[in-house]
Order: sequence, then structure tokens, then C-alpha cells
Amino acid sequence: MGDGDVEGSKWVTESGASSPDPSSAEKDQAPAAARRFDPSRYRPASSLPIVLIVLLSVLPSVAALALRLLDVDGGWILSGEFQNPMVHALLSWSAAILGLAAGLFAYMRWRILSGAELETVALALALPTVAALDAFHALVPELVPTEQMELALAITWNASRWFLAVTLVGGVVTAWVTATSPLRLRWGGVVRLTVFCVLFLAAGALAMDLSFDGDSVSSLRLWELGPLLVLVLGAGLWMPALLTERRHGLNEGLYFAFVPLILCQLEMTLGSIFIGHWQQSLAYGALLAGALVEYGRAQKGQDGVRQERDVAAEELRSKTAELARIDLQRMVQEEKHREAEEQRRMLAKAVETMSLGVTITDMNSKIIYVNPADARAHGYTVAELLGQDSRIYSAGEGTRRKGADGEPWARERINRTKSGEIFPVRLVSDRVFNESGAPTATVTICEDIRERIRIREALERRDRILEAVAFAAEQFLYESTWEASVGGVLARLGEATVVQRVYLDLINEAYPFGVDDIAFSWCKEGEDDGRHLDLEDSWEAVLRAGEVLSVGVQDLPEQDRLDLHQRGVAAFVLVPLFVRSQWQGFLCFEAATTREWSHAELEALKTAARTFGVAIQRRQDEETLAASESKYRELLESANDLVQSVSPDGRFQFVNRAWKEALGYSAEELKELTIWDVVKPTQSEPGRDVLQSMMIDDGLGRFEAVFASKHGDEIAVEGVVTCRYQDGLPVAAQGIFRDITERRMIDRMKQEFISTVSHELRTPLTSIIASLGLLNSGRLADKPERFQELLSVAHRNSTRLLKLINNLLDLQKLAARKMTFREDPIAADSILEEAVAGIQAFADQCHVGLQIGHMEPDLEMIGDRDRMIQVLNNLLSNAIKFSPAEEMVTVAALSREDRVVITVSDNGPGIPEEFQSRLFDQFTQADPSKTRASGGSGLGLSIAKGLVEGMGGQISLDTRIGSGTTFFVELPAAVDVDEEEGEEGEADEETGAELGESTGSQVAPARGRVSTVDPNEDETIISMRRRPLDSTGSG
Amino acid sequence: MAPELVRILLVEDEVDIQMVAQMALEDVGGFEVKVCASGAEALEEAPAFEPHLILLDFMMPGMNGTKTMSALRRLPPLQDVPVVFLTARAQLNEVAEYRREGAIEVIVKPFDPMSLADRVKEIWQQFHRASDAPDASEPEVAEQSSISQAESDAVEPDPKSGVGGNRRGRRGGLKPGHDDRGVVAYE
Repeated sequence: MGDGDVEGSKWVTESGASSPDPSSAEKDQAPAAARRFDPSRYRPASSLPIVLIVLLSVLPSVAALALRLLDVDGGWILSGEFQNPMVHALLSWSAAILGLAAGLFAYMRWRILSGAELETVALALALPTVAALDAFHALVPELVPTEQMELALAITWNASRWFLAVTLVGGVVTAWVTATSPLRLRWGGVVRLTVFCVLFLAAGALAMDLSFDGDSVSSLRLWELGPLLVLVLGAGLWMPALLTERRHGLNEGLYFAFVPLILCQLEMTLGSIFIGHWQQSLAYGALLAGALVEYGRAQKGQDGVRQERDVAAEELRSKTAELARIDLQRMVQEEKHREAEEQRRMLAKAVETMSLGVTITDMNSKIIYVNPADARAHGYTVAELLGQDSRIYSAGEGTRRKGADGEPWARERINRTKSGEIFPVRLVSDRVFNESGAPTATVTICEDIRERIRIREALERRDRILEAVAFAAEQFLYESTWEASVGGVLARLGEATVVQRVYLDLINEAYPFGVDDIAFSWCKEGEDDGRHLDLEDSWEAVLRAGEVLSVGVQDLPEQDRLDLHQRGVAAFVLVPLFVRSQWQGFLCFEAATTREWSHAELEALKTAARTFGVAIQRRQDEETLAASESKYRELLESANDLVQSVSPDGRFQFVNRAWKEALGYSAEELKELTIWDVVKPTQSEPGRDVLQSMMIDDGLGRFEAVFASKHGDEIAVEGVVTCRYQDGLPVAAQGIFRDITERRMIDRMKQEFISTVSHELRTPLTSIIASLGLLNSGRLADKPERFQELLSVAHRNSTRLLKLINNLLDLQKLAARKMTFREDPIAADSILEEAVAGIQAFADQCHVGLQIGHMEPDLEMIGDRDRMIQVLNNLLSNAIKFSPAEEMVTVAALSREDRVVITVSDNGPGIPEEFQSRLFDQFTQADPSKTRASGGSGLGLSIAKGLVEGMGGQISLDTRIGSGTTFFVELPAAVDVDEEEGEEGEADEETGAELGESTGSQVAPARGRVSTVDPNEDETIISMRRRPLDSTGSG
Repeated sequence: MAPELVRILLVEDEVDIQMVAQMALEDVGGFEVKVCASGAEALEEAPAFEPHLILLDFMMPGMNGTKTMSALRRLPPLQDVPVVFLTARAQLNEVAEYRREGAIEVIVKPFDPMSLADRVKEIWQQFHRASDAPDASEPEVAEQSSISQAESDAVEPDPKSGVGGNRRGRRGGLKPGHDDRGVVAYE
């Protein structure tokens, strides 16, 4: 009843919507439909939901079947008892409402119903109907009396199944018939469906066989097989479409709902009521899920209809745009055409007016166009040239540089004008091609390059000059002398400027180096006549202003011209030369031909002149520097101070003359030596430290060092050393020293002298003080015999002290040249006798004999008698002391030319040679203790020498080791002895007395001293001569 | 405690000085004195004489004073005998030289004959005090330490006591002053 209604409505709905005019509907909707069934648009993002639903549907069936087959007690799962029928009904009703809602929703969504939508609507209506029937079926036990219940259950159940099956198959068939659906019934699907049905039946039969026990509810109901078959058939038809084309969520949900529904039928048929109902719930769940998914999609605005409208609008827009574009193109083309025409006119005008020549020839070289400039350049009119062969221009072969095919090519050649004049041109040609690519004409642009070539040549000349300038700069920089390089430089300049002759004319002050300035010239060929131009005042003014002067000879006055013409000079250029901004002369370039000098060339020549100026300046500087250096060097060389300059590694850089002489090395030897070779070895190490620290600490104040000369002498120096730096590094230690060797020696001698004098004074004082002290103490009261002894000690030593003091005073006077000497004639015999008599006692004491030997008669000398006695006394006492006992000391006098020589000879051991040179020095003491042995102070011979020399005489000696020594005292002989003897004698005595009295208070009277000297006390007579005696043990 | 000073060897070439010095030492000081006129003689005589102290002149014929001293030191019985120089040649550098060579003291000529013996005794005692001190190997050091020791022994109450040789002169009661180098100078 209800079944029929539902079924009918479905069919009505479907046919009513689709059948009246399916073709027109389809036609209208073609683009939209095409888009709607685009599979990519409907394919879900994932297959997972499908797989899940299928598994959830199939697994319980498999489980139920498995349990049955294994005969496991499934309990309530397999039992026929069912749950609350109210719940069952509620579920089914919910599904029914849901399905109805889905149908409505689908209808609202696709108001224009196509075949495809009809499927959906049919399915959507079928499902709630099935669900309603199911709900009624579930409520049967409640509503129907028990006796009719069995039948009611069967009827409701069957009705729902049948309805479902018919709807399903009907939908498929409708779709198939209308052929508007993409879901096509395929034979493959039918086969699969058939197989599925057979399997189902087989399974059903098997299950019935296994489990049916005749129970009414849970037994196999054959009448259920009819709807089941149809259901399976429908599913088989739908399933392929389900798997291949899913349209939208609702549709998909409907499709999936069928799977559990079919299986539900299967379960029910098999008797698993619970599972069957579960499957049923699942079917409704799938439907719900589909509806929700589709609702979500609709919310997103991906609305099919709106999309269709948008597409249509878009198409319209694009169509319109296309039309507009075509229109615009047409307009643009027209515009372009106009512009091209304009451009062509402008180009034609440009070609007409341009200064470059333009010629267009056809392929036979006939001129088809020529611009006025080209015609003008060649002396033709345009009309004359048109139709002529283009070779009318050519004056000969030119260079031809053809580019790659289709590219313009350029060349230079010589052209001829109508009047026959030739000139260089540069041509650039290009072919013109027609549409098919064949050449139709040649365009040639012709440029007159006379000016360009002129400039190029001028630049080349300038470059040559500049090369010469570079050469000059190099020469002047690196050649040792300016004079050596200037000739080559002038030659180079002459060649570069292509002139006959170049010379340098300098005013006298510029080059005061004694070189004939005519040497600074160069001549291309032949001998240089050395003639220089007489500079006119106006020319000089120009040159002084720094300007170059270019003069053609023909412009000169007659007389000047002649001379230059004879020399073949047609023109010359004068380039001023400045040194330190002062005009100092000029460079003259004489050329055989007149020619124009370009600005660039003249500038280059100026540069050349500047180079000369700098070189001359440098030459002057060098000269000045050398002069200054040699001045200072000379100063240093001639200085008495020792000057040196030493490099940080100790090599000598400079050593002045005085220092070289002191060191005893030649300049060459010093080159091989370092400072360390001449520093005294003991000072070498500290010296190095000093030099090192000096280099670091910048200079050193005073400096003392001891050097060793080549001959081994020590040279003590003091001075100042300074360090010279260059770029922050020490480069030399410069020292100025003073030789203090002498000073040191004198200091030492002074020291020794004072020491000796002090000792000599203290020695007698010791005896005096001690003896008097003892006497004075009274301690010797019990020894009176000592009194006399001590007194004589005191007296003796006092005398000795006095004598010593007198000697020292004499020495001091002699040294200060304050001693006065009388110049009396002295008779030799008398003075010798007096001297011998005076010393006789001492000789006796020493057991030495005294004799007067050879005595020439009437010998007289000029001298101071007292001083002479003193000299003889010294010599005699020395001789006596150093004579062995029982030997003789001999005095003699002889005449030698205008001199009188007195000799004092002994037979002593002689004086060693090494002491002879120092014999007459004061305190001559190689070993002071030996001097002391004789109580002398080393003053005797020194005084004797001083006295003799003071009287204008000489003292000398002759000594032989082992055989004796002879002293010679020479004094000038008295010339007129006889005449003045008496008077002189008188005067002598008087003067002697006077002298004695006048000095008596300080010094013993001279005569008295001579006569009263006790030889024992004459201990001042010492000399080196005593040493050999000492060494023999005497004294 | 210093042993008693009895025998003094005097080496002196000046006959007069020999005489006065001998008298000053024997008659005034009561020492037993042997006089030698040269270094060579001293080398001969000294071993037999066995002096307690040697007084040595520097300026002598033959061997001078320092040579004589070093020769004497090489004789076994004499190597520890103190040597005092008695010389007129006594400038600063010379005195330093004698000390360097090993002299324990220098007495400068001329000397005061009446106090010479005391001075010698004093030197003798100082020398022994110094050699009793634990580390008295170096003569100069010994001299220094002997001064300070003598100072602390004898002149405790003197508030002005400082450094210098003059205090020794005061303490010893000698007429000649003592300069800072311990040289007795007749001033």
C-alpha cells in the first residue's frame, strides 16, 4: 500500500522532471554539466572513509559467518533475541527523518533536476521510506496481536526490502535510460553482480543448513530471497559507479548506506538479528555523515550554480576584451604606419642634410641616390652623379675590411674629386635586402678623413717626442753624470721631432761646471758647426715668458736668413728651459722643412725642456752637495781629534787621517777591519754592549776606551759617540775622540814623581825624627854611648834632606828655565882638580881610585864654574859608586873643534841599552827599590844634563856592557883665552861669592857645597846605571 | 787570648833607620829584634829566628817589600807570621796594594819612636782577636771585624762612637793619628 505510493511517486518525480524535455535541458546545461562531472572536482581528498565504512560493514558479517561455521556459541550476538523494540523503532524513524531531510536538501540545492540529481533524490526518498518500514517492522511486536505478529513481521520486513531493492534498481534503470548520467551500466558490473548473488545464495543455503533449527524468527525465510536478490543486483549496479565517480557528500553517503543495508538483509536472512540491526544503524550513520560533509562543502561557498554564472560572465568579458583588442590592434597599426611614414621623411631629410656623404647604389654599382654632401665633397652636383657608376670616385685601391656577411663593412681608400684632387676617405657600406632576402642595393657612407689623419700624425709625433722625454728622464736619473747622457738624449729628441739639428743653449750661470756647452748638440748628418742662434730681444722675452717660439726662416731679415739658408735650415723651434723657475736657456730644433707644429707636439717639447731643467738642477745640487761634503770631510780629515763612523755591525765607514795615523792602519786595511779588531781585547766585550745599548738608546754621552794600534800600542781615548738614524734605524755610530794616552802617562808620571819625592823626603825625616825622639825621651839616659850615634844620624839625614831639597829646586828651576848661568871662561885643569879633590874622600871610602888622565894644555871653556863643579861631582860620585873596588875612575879633558870635552870613565859593568834612553830622566826608576838601595832619588843625572845644556853644552855617554861607561860633557871653548884670563878669573870669583851669599840663606853656597860635600851623603846621584851594580849584588 | 809578642824581624835597608827602629823596639818596647838589610837576608835569617811578627820596608834593593813577603810566606815556619809594612811609600793606592798582597797593617814613616812598640803591640792583639773570630780568612775583613769588636769591648760609653779609625787612636793612646784605612800617619 504505502509501498506503492512511495514507489509511484518516485517514478513520477523522476519522469516528470526528466522526460518532458531531456534534450533541451541537457543542451542548456552542457557546459555546467561538463564541469559538474569533472571527477577531480568530486574526488575526496582521501579514500580512508570509504575503506573504513566498507570494513565496518563487512567485518561483522565475516565474523558472524565465521562463528557460525566454527559452531561457536556466539551468545547474544548470534541469538535471535533482540533489544528494546522502542530503541529499534526510534533509530529507524530517525533515519527516515534524516533521509527525508536529505532529499529536501538535495532538491533545494539543485533546483534544476538532471538525471544525476534524480538518482540522488530517488535514493534520498527511498531510504526514509525503507527506514519507516523498518521502524514499523520493529514496532510490530508491540502493535500487532501475537497471532498476527509473525506475519506482520514478515510483511513489514519484506516490504521494506522490496521497496529498497526496487528503488535502487529503478534509479539505475532510469539513469541508464535517460543516459544523462555518467553512471553507465556496464556488462562487467552485471557479471560481478551475478557472481555476488550466487555466492550470497550459496552462503545463505549453507548458513541455513548449519544454523536453522526451525525456529520461526531465526529461520531462513525463502521469501526473503526475492528482495535480497534485487537488492544485490542494484548494489552490483551501483557499486562500480560508487568506486569511480563520487559526486558529492550526500550522494556518497547514500551510496555507502547501501552497503550495510544489503549486508543487514544478509544478516537477517542468516538469522543474526543483532548484527543485522547493527548493520542497519551503520547504514543510517553513513547517510548522516554524507549529509554533514555536503553541508560543510555548501557552507564553503563552492556553489555550483554560482560558479556557472561566474563562468558565463567571465566568458562574456573575455569575448568583449578580444573584440576590443582586435580593434586596438587595427588602430595601432594605422598609427604605426603614419609614424613610419613620418620617420622615413625625417630620415630622408637627415640624410640630405648630413655632412657625411651617403650613396646608394644598385647591384650594378649604379648610383641611385646620393646626398648633397657626398656630391659636394667630390665636386659634383647630385644630378651629375645619379645613374653614374660608383667607381667614378675611386682613385685607387684602398683597404677593404669586409665584415661578416650581412654586416656593414668599412674601409679606407683614396677618392678623387671631379677636379682630380685626391683625399683619403673612410667608407662604411651595408647591403639592403628585399623581402625574399636578395640584396637590392648598397648604402655607402663616405667620410673625409683628412683632418683625422692629420691629427693622428701629430699625435704620433707627440708620442715619439714623449718617448724621447721618457728616455731622457731615465738617462738623467740613472746615468752617473749628466754630461754623459745629454748627447744621447738630444739625439733621441732630434730623431723624434725629425729635425736636422738640436742643440742646448744655456746662459753662463746655468752651467758653471767648466764644460763647453757646444758639446750639448746633435746633428742629423755631417759635422756640427757649433753655431748658435743670436737671440733677438723679442725672442728672449717670449722664451722668458715660458712660451715656445716657432720661426720660419723666410720670415727673418735678409742677413739672418742667408746664414740659415746656407746651413739648410728652413724653420726652427725654440723651447725655453727653466731651472728652479729661472729662465736659463733654450733648446733649439732646426728643421730642414717648414712645417706646422701641433699644440700637442709643442707641449711635449716643453716637457722635454722641463726634464732638462730638472736634470740641470740635479747636476747643480750634486755639485753643491759634493762641495759641501768635501769641505766637511776635509775639516774632519784635518782635525787633530780622532773621528770615526762605524756601521751597526762594526765596519768602519769613515776614519779621519789623525785616527788612521794613530791606529797605524791604511784606509784599505781598515776596510777589512771592524771596530772590534782595533778595540783592546779586554774592552771588546763591554764595548759591544756599549755600542748595542747606544744604538738602542740614541747616543751615549762621554765615552772612554782603549784601542790597540796595528803595532800593538795601546791608545787610550775619550770622546763623544752619537748615533745616526735613518728611517728610525741606527745606521752609524759616529765618534769623535781625543787621544789621552799621553795625558794618562803624564798623570801616571806625576803620580810616581810625587810618590817618589814623598818617599825621598820621608826617608831622612824618619831617621831624624826617630833619633831625636829617642834622645828627647830620656829613655837612653843609661846608654850615653848612643847619644853621639843618634845625633850624627840626625845630622847626616838633615844634610841629606837639604841636598835633596836643593836638587829638587834646581830641577824645578831648570824645568822652568829660571836658572841663570854665568858665562865665564873656566880652565879645564883647574876645575878637574877641584872636582877630584872634592870627591876624593868618597872614593877612598869606596876603595876606588881617582885619576886625572889625558889633559890638553890651556884648555878653557865657557860656563858657570859652580854649576860645572856640581855636574862633575854628580858624574864622579856615580862613577865611583858603580865601580868595583880597586878600579880606577878617570877624568880627562880634550879639545874637539870649538868645544872642550870632559870625560868621566869608569870600569863598571856598563849600562844596558834599554835604560840608556831614559838615563837622564828624573826619578828614573824601573825598580824604585833599587834606587833606594843607594839612597838616591834619581835626580843627579837629570840635573847634570839640565845644567850642561843650560850652559850651552851637551852631555852624552858611551857604555859597554862589562867594560865600563864614559860620560862626555861638552862645553863651548873659550876663544880668547890669553887676553882676558886674569880679569875673568877675578870676575869669576867675585860673582861666585856674590851668588853664594845671595842664595846662602836658602841653599848652601855653591863653592862651599862643592868643597864640603860629603861623598857619603851624595845620594841624589842616582841613575839607571846603578841597576846593573845592584844586580851584581853591590851597594 | 793573643800569645805574647817577643821576637820581631825588621827588614830595612837604611842603616840609620835600622838603628833607630831597633832602639825604639828593643829599648822602648822590650822586644827581641833581628834586623835584616834586604829581603834576601831576611829569607836566610828568618827561619832560624822564628819571629812572631815581621816589620817590612817596601823600598829595598833586590827584592822589594811585597816580593819579600810572598817569599817569606812560602817558608813553612813563616807562612802564618803576620807582616806589617813599615814604609815611607804609603799613598792610598800603595797601602791598598800591601793589604792586597797580605800585609795585616801598614805603619807609615816617619814614625814616633816612643809609641812604635805600642802600635806594634796593638796591631798584634788586633790580629789575634781577628784570627780568633770564626771567619777571619780575609785580612781586610779581619781588620774590619777587629775594629768593631775592639770598639764594643773598650769604648762602650762613648756616645759619639761611629765608624772610623780615629777612635782606635784615642783608645790606644797613640800620638800619631790613625786614618780611616788603619794607616798610622805622623801628622
